[in-house]
Amino acid sequence: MSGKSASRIMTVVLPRWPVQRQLLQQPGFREFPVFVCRKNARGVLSVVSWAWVMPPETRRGFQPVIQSGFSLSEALAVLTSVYGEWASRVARILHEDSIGDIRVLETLGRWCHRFSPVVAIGPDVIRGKVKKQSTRSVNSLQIDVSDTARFFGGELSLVRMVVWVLAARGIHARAAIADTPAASWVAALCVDRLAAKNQQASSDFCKKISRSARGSTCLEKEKPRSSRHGHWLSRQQRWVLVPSGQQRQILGSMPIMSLRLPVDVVDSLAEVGVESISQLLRLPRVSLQERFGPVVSLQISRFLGEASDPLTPLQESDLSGATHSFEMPVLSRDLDYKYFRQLIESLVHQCIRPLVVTNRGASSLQVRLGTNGVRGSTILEVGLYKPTAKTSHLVDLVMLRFERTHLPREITGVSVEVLSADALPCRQQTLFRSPVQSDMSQFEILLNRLTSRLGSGAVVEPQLLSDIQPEASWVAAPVVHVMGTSGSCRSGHAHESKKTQVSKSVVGPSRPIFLLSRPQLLEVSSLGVHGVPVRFSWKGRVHVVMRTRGPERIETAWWRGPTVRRDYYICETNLGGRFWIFRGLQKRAWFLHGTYG
Amino acid sequence: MTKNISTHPRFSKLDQAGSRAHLQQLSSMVSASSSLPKYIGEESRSTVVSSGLPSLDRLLRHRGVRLGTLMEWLEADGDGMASASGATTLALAVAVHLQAANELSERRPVVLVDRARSFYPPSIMPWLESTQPMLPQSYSNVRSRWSKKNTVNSREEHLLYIVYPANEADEFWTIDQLLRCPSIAAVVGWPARVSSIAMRRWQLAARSSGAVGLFVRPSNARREPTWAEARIQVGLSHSLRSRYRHGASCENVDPAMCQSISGHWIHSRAFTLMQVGGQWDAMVAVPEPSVECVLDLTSGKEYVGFHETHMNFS
Repeated sequence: MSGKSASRIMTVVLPRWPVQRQLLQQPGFREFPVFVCRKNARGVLSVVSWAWVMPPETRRGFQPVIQSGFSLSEALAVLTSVYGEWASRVARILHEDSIGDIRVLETLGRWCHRFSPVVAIGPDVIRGKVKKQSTRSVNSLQIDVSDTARFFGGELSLVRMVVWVLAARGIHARAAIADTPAASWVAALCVDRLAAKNQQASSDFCKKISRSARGSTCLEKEKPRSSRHGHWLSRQQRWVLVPSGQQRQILGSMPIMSLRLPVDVVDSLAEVGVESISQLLRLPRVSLQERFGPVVSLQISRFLGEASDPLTPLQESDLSGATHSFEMPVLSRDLDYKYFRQLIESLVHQCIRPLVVTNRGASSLQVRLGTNGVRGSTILEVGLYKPTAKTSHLVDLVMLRFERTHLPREITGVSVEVLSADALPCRQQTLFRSPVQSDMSQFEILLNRLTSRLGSGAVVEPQLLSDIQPEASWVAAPVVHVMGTSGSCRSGHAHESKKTQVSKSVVGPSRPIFLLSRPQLLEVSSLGVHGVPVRFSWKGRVHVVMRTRGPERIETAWWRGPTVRRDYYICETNLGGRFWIFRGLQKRAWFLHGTYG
Repeated sequence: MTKNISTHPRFSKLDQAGSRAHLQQLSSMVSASSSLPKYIGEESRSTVVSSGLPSLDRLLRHRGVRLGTLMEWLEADGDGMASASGATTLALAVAVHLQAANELSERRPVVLVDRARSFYPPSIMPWLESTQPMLPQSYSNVRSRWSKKNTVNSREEHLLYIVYPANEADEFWTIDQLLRCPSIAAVVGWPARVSSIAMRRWQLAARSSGAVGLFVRPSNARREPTWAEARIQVGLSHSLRSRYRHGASCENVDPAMCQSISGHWIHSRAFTLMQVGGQWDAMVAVPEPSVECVLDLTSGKEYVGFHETHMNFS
């Protein structure tokens, strides 16, 4: 058989990507409802994306409908109505970091080069129905699998492999293969609708079209083996194959919104009853062009494959990797530490050597210990404060992490991969090195060592935020990041992009040295209901208040979520201690929030 | 009769030089292994800088903080959170001052090892901004700042870092690693239980780098031996103590009378600092002196002359 084969494009959509990306970096948040929000010009936080991976078992049947564009207060109200008040209290509010999202998506795209040499970031997705409130972000990858699918056993095997391999890495994805990027995008975006449609159709219809000339099936579906990713991931359909030339028939019932038409065009078409793609295709192109300009005709042509819609491939990463496979699996208990170090050293050296030529160094590194077990590979990731090309330093960091990692029983191989690289800092050396001169490079080495052993979130630099609530008035920004996610900060409670940091928060002597992570209930005697505290007991000791300063009322705005209304007092006791206590104005109870250590 | 070769003038001269070198080596070894810093040459070479608190300087043996040593701050009663007596405040004030007053050419960061994850940075942020280097700007300062701004991938160097170890082993390892780094001005930690072996490691680490370790300990640590050069107990100032004792003992006193009207008192805090031990204690039997100190909480510096400072050798 000869002749040029038609193109086949696979689109991989990552639903709720902003939240997924945050959960990948902070797995501890999987237990809480997580909202990624954006602050608008009026200071109101609106929900960009949200998820609760592990909601309470008793309420799993209910799924709150919180759409993108909801204000945070509205979203929390919906959450409270379904799960109760405590759900809003434990909710984690994160700020959107679109740059970080794209960078991680690009890293994922480069990883997908193992499926095809042509991988591109997918088109913008438009969120929100009102034009002024609509937001754009990227949450998909498009892969040209025209000639590579056969190497993976056909399109069905490939699309299934992509989805499940991503799932094994903790990433929920939906994928579709069609003739054109626009058609595969529509199919991947509307997997749920296609599944529902498929269920309604008769089984004869499915059998009829289940075998196509390419050996793939239409609307192949498979129920997931488990729903461990939670209710928002437990969809029944995760991939779709649209046979060649059948996108008009199969995707015709999908909404025109999925064609990425402008919001005002969609609204205008909806007013005249045009809501599906098939309805749109029945309209004359000329009249569409006269009414809406070339954009609608162009999108239709791209959908049908009449106009070219080339992918813009991601630049091939020049980051190198090196792999060593053992002839026989090695038991980890028999692993010679010295030999393993030498092995890592040689692999790291292979990775670093091409970078040095271009005066670059590794800023994050990944070591993968291959196993035969079902748990998959053991991954050690090392991030650096500043890029370095010193092999010995990188090996030290890897071994620090290695010592604290639970190894698999058997190791089949070791691979080292540079995840990100940057230009090496250029610093002039002095002619005569003074013994008392401070050397910052030693400090960088120290930060790298601390991070390698304690984790990236354990070494932080404090940065102030303009938030009146004490718990959210600063952020602990990790000094070392892995996989180039340097745009994000994190702390135990507050999260903020560096761009929004200002130094207008309350600082100085009115704030305590130590702040309790959760205010502790106190038994306080006060002068009347609204009076100042006179004495209180804490940790089995009665403190007589000798001096007080207050109240300082701290009250948060309603749109920030659960309202905080507190009257704070600074109390100096007869034992010389200073305490920061407050009276909650809602429950009229006293709490200790901090001490002036 | 054979003549001993060592008595030959030429060899005896060599022998004397060798003996001196051996003696110096032995002396340094003894000094390194002993708790007593007795080698005069070493002591004279070490750098002493002001703690930033004149009262504390008068209390310390070297009239300041010797770089490369440890200092312990004991709470008046209980641990740091329960006591809230101000030991941490003073330790942080000294650390911030060491960062700026360091004679080693450029500002170096302070690192806090906070295992309890309870430290609240906004309280001392103004101290970092208000503290300027006391020495005139040297060439190295200009060079380092210029190089920081103009290097590829230059990122802002911060003056305060916090490390959150997960357990005691990580905490000890972290402090040890930090104290070995010559790029750090001071390490502040709150280790509750420290073995003498661990503290000895920290002492040697600090001596090798010149960093200063400031550790806030519970009051019951006073009985333990220490490798810290000074051990300071922080308590309520004498004047406030007598006033509060009287106020708390009066059953019929109206609590409203005790309330401060102005509220300006929150900007300062008065302490009594008492030297209760330290490494020098085994060598020199010095009675426990104490001083009064009033700290300006806005800037992290001492109010000089605000209270009458006195030495109490009773």
